[in-house]
Amino acid sequence: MKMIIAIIGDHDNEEVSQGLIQAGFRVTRIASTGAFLRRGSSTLMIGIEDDKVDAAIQVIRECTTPTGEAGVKRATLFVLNVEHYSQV
Amino acid sequence: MLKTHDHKVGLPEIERGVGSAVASGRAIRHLMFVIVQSQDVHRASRALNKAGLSVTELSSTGGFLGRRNTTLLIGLEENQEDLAIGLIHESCRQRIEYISTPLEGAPLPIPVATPVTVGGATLFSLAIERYEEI
Repeated sequence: MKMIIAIIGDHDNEEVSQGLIQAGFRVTRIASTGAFLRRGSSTLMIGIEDDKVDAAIQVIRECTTPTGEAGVKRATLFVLNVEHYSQV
Repeated sequence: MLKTHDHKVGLPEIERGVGSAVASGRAIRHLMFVIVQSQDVHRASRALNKAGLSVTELSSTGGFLGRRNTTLLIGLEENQEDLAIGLIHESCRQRIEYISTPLEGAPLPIPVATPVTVGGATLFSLAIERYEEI
C-alpha cells in the first residue's frame, strides 16, 4: 500500500478528483495554500495498491491542464510507503 | 511550449520518472509535516521560502485545545532536513496560554486560569519513495 500526496492547483481540483474516482481510486481532498505563487491549491491524499501508483500518476498527468509556460509545474507528487492500512 | 508537455506524456514509464526528477533538478527524499500555531505560520513559511524550500499550507485544528493551527508540507532533499528544522526552530515559539478550568472541590464552578504550554511546532519527517513534478 502506498499513499500519494498530490498538490495541484485549485482549477484542476475537480477534474483530477473526478478522473481519479472514475478510475476507481479513493481520494481525500484538503484545501491548502502556498506553493503555486500563494494561489489556492488542493492537496489530495490517495491510498493506493503498490502496482497502481503509475496508473494514478498517469490519471493526474492527463487531468491537469498544461500551464502553457515551460518550467511551471502543474502538480507536485509525493509517494510514501504505508506501513499499515485497514478500512473499518 | 505546450508541446513539451505532450512529448513527456508519450515517454515510457521509467524514463518519465527519472526525466521529471532531473528536469526539476531536485532530488526530494523527505516529506516533512510541521504543525505550527497560527501566530507563527507567516514567519515560518517566509523563512522556509527564503531558503528555497517550497511549502504547502493546510489549515488544521489541534486536538487538545481545539485551536486552529496550520500543517505545513515541505519537500526536502537529503541534506536539507537540518536546515528546515533550524528555520522552524527559529520561527516558532513555545507560549504559555491560560485556559479557564473550574476550581476543583469548590461548591460552585469557579473558573480558574490554568497555564498551558502551547508547543512551538511538531515535526514529522517521512521518507519518500518517489517524487514527481508534472
